[in-house]
This record gives sequence, structure tokens and C-alpha cells, in this order.
Amino acid sequence: MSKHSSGSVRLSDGFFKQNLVLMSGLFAGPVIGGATSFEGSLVLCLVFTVVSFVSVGLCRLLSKKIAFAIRVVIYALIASLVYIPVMLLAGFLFGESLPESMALYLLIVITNPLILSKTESRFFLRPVHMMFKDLLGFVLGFDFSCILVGAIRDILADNIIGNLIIPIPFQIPSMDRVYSGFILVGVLAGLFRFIYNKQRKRKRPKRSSVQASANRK
Amino acid sequence: METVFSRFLAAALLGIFIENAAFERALGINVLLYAARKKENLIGIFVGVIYVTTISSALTCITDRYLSDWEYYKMLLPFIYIFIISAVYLITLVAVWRFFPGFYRKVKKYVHIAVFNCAVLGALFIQSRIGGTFASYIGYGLGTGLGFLLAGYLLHAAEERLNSDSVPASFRGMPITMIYIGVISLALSAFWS
Repeated sequence: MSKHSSGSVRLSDGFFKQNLVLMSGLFAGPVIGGATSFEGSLVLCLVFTVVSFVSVGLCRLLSKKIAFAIRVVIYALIASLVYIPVMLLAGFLFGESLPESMALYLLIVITNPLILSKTESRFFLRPVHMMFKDLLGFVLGFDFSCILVGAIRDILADNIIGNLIIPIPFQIPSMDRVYSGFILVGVLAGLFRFIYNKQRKRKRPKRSSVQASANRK
Repeated sequence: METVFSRFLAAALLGIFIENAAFERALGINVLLYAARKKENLIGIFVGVIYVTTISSALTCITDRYLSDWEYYKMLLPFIYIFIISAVYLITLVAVWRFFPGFYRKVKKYVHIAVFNCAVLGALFIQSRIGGTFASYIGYGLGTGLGFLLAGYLLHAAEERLNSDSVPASFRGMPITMIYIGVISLALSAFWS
């Protein structure tokens, strides 16, 4: 039995430790290219969340007797079918405000690693309820990173977030460009790792001191 | 003939440099990071990407030309493109398994990563938006794959320095790689503009 199949599932695993954007960078592309504004990042989050949950849930129903090469194809086809009603929903909710440049980054949600690789290597090794909890951690981690990047870009480019004006004495109009996205995600990933490692180091001495006191007893 | 070749070449150059999948569109970053980590798979992954983008582009040219008048075509576009990529993947995999079993055993672990990724799907989508002739579809598909190879090579060349002790521990690996790609992307975009 794999190590993933036993023990409890932590939401923090997908949110912090294996964050798809800021830790592993496995699905940073859409955030870099697509989350150029706060509204854009909300659309991306909606599409990513619904497509990931529904697709992984449907893919779970497939028999494991099917060869892996064929299963991957079916996963991708399922995700591409799930994408159609999700885009209709996004169009209904956000209407014409969806920028044309977002279309590419919404489309590539179909090939997201939660559906095409984490299903086999992680999610399907767990019972259903634990699988969804684990998936929720990853999805929330992506959504957090996406909204953070979108909001920072909006603030730096236009000094505005949603309808709220942020009084900053400068503007960086090129924040919506792809290179700005790369640099911003790189800097945020470094800071995220720094905070995560600090927190981990802070927890470690506590554990060891508890263990030492237990040993003394 | 000259026009066909010039269209092919123009589309290929567009895919390699101006519309580079990694630097200009941030597509396939996961594949680049994976390939940089597992150096032994580098060539296999990039040959896979070049092959799939080229063949799939040729097939999408046919569907774009003959099905684009269908009212549901735009809505079903993702499914049709994934279907084309899947067909290319399965037919190629069966052929490799049948005729080169040793090679199949080597590549079967990571071939799906090379095929089902943002760079391949994104290339087909961008080309369908640009439109053009059969030659330009193939040229753009090939160019995207070669542009991706160029990005992979530049990343591979800097990998050792990006993971060295001179980089602060928190920024080592993925974060500094992103900043590195961002700087190349900035330079390229300044050059082309």
C-alpha cells in the first residue's frame, strides 16, 4: 500500500507544502499569463475549481483495469467536456467583461496537473472523502495564489482593486505583461517558501522539546 | 511553391521567437520544470512536444477548414482539439510499442507529460485564432515545438547556477527559475517590440 493511502489528509498539504503555483510551479502558467487583473483571477479560479472537482470526481468512476495510456486520454476528454458548461456558466456570470486574452488561459485548465497526473499518483490512492479533502487543499492553494497575483497586479498597474482605490504614488502599467507575471510569481514563491520554512522550523523545536520531556518521564 | 515555403518559414519563426510558447505565453512551464529536474528525459520530452504540435496542427487545419461553419464548432473546440491530440498520442504509442518495444519501455513513463500539456493545446488554439494555410499551420506547430526546445535549452544551461548556494535558500529552484524566465521574456519582448 502506498504511503498516500493511509493516515489522515491535511488541507495544508495542497495549500502550502505542494501549492501548485508558489511551491511546485506545476500550474503557474495560467496565473502568470491569465491572472492579469483581480476580475480575471476570479474567473480563472471559478473555471479551475469547477473543472478540477467535477473532472476528478468523474475520472474516479473509471475502472483501474483500463491501461494507463488510455485512462489519461479519457481523463483529458472528460475535462474537455466538463469545460464546456463551465465556460457557459462563466459567460453567464461575468458576461462581456471577460477579456479575449483570457480565453487561452481558461482553455488550458483542461490540462491541469490535478486531473492528468495527481489523480494517478495521489488522489485515487485514497478513499473518496479523503480524496476530495485533499483535492480541496490543492484547489484552495491555487485559488489563493491566483487571486493574490491578480490583486497585486491590479494594485500596481492601476492602483485599484475591484472598486476600491488604493492610494499608491506610482503605477507600473506593464504589470499585465507575461514577463511581469513571471517575475512577480518568482518573488512571491520565494517569500512564500521563506515564510513556510520559518513556520516549519518554529514547530520543530516545540515537537522535540515535547518528545524530550516525554522521554524524561 | 515559393509562397508555400515562405508561409511555412514565417509561421515557424513566429512560433519560435515572437510567439514563443514559454517566454511570451507562459505555456508548458510545468513541462519545462519537469524536464529541467529529470535531465535524462530532456530530449525525449522535447521531441515528443515537437512531434505532437506539428502533427496535431496539420490535423486541426483540416477541422478548422471544414467544420468552422458548424454552429457548435467554437463551443466544442476544446473537445475536438483534445480528441485530435489523443488520436495522435494513441496511434503513435501503439506504433512505437509494436515496432520499437525497447524505446516504448523507456518513454512510457513520461510520454503523456509531453503530449497532454498547455504548450500543445495552447499552440493549436493560438494557430486557430491566427488562421492561415496548411503550410502555416504546420510551420506554426513545428515552430512552437522548436521554440519550446529553445526555452528548455536555455533553462537547462542555467540550471546549475540557479540551484547554486549563491542563491538564497528560499529562492533556490523554482522561484529563481521563474525570475530567470521573466528576465529572458522581458528581453525578448523588448527586442521584438
